[in-house]
Amino acid sequence: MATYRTLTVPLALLLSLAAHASAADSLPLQQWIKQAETILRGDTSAAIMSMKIKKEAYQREYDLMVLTDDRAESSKVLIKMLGPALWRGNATVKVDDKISFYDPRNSRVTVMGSSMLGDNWMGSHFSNDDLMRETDLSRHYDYQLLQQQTGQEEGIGAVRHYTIKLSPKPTAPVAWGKVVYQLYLDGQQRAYPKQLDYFQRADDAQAARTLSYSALKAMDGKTVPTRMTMLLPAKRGEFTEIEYRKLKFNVKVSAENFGERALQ
Amino acid sequence: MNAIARIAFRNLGRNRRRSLITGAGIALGVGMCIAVLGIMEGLSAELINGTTDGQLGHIQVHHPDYLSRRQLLKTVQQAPALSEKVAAQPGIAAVSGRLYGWAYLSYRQRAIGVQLLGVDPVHEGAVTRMPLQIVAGGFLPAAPTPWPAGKQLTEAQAAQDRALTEQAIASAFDQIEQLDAAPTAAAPAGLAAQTQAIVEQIAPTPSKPPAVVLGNKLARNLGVRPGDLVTVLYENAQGAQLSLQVQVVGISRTGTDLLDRTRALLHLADLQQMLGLQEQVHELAIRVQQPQQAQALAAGLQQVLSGGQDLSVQDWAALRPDILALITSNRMLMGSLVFIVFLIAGSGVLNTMLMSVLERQKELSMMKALGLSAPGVTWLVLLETLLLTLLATAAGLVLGLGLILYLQQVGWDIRSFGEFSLSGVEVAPVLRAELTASGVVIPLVAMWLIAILAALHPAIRAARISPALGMRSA
Repeated sequence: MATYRTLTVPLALLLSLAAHASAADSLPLQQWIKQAETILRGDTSAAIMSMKIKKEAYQREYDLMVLTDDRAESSKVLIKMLGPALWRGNATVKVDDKISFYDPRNSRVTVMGSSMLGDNWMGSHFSNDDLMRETDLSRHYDYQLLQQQTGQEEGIGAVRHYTIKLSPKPTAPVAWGKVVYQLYLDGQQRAYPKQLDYFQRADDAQAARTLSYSALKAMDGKTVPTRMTMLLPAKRGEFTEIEYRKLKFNVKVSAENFGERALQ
Repeated sequence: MNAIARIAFRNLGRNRRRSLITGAGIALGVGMCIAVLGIMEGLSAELINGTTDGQLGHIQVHHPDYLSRRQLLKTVQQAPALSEKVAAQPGIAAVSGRLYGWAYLSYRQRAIGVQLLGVDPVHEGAVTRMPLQIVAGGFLPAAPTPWPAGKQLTEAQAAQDRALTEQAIASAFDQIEQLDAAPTAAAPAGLAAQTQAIVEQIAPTPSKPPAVVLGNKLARNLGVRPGDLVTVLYENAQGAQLSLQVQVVGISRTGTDLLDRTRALLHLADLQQMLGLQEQVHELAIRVQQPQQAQALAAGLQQVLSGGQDLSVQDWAALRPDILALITSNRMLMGSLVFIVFLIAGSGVLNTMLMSVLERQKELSMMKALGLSAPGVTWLVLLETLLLTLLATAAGLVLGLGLILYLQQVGWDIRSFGEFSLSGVEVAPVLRAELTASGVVIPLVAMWLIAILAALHPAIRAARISPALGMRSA
């Protein structure tokens, strides 16, 4: 028995080492990114968040309610503005590749094509695409591990950090030339997003924008980053910050929650 | 000398047919050149007027960075005062402010991205033809839409707004909690009404929908007619997305596809109110009294306006270098055409004079033998040529002027070739010639020069005839 154990431990170690060595390129990078990307969404989710926008010309705060439904191939998103007064009741909804905008002041729904996905949402640094999640970083890209190291994250303890380079596939319908994705895995191999650097062109030295995740908290029984900050390195001092105040996963939503009635 | 002139004149009549054919060639060349240059000038003037009168004006004033980036906030400040100052300058006929913006225009299920252009209906008509480009309905009313000014919230109201937001958040919390359970809870009563009251104070709605004029293709694509209400979804200068109902009062047609497909005109004051850019414009369009002086006046204005805010003043040629290049290249093309026509006419002259000299070897030898000097012979031949050219160009001038007169009065209908525009400027369906001094003088002088050059060789050859050999040879 004893000999058996003394034999198996090194053997297992050896096996795991071998697996590790050969795994440099077979790590499930794509799967981690998918996990990190959907950490705040689940299959369906409902959230209350506040958005703080700081720009050279103005600064503003919004309070928002966001419903998402990712069960179908094409996700559904509803963003309803709760305040301040000028925008209270305004809603943006994405179903299929159609974005609709509702303004309670004239009770009109304006339907727009997906061409405005790249536009900024409500004067923030987030694009409609960011909030509607039309672009999926776990598809359309080739993944390459740049760096890995162990570290600490407040709230979950020891983690392992990975820096992954995302290069768009030649035919991919994507807006960025390169994305550098930093994420970390906790003890249960769950992936958390840390920071995303978006580059216009693959050989750019400076990122066009940087999205970072912070403030890990338990929400609906799950530890998630509750703050997202979008920075534009070219515009110092400007940023948009989203802070989750409530988040519930796998809520029961139906197509009705994203229909025209739900807007009003 | 007088005798030589007489002989020269008589010589032209000796072979009438040859002189007539050569003369007719010269006359036709000169006449057609004058007419073509006239048409070219007319087209150039049409291009310039189409550019300046249709949309551009003769001079424009912008924020120095506006034209390169077209950012909403790069405006000309204190526009009314600045307009008055510019209008008071000598040589300036009219000034009109303009404001640009981007928006989604939606009607029923259709939405189209458009360029919003705010113009002052009264002043714009004095600068460009914009108010005349209406094909249905009318132009914008002269008076802006009555629109109460927004007021800041008081402390108490701001607090009320925050309370309402908290109330909305609480209600949203409930809603989320109940998603799994029963049908969603209705928003607290009164929330909408109180919000409405606050919004009406900070951003009041106008008492009636502002008027808008759409390009004809835009109107067709949206499926709207004058009188219809459409919704504009736009972002104001503070980055806030807002929507507003506007009423289509007219449909315009500029002939420039891009403008007809994407332009929506609003009253300047209305757009200023919508975008939150009161007293600001992106562009001052200026009409000058003498279009030729646009460049000098632009430079003068730049001087006059220096010292205040940073502004850039440019004339139409600087704003539309493509139009200027088009005109220049047209002129070059016409220049080479004139050159080729005259080269052919010149070779005709050369041929005629050479023939006549060779034919008259005996006669010329006799004249020389009788005492006419070699320069005298040269002069004789040159004089013949000059006389022929003079008579022929006179005929050509009459022909050319006649053609120009006709093309000026009646014009050349090019509709059969279809509608077309050059560099985005629609060309009138009937081309009209324009008479300019250079358009007449250049063909005449060029013809004379070429004729004399062509006659030099025969003339010198005639002068070199040795009387003894010449009389014997024939």
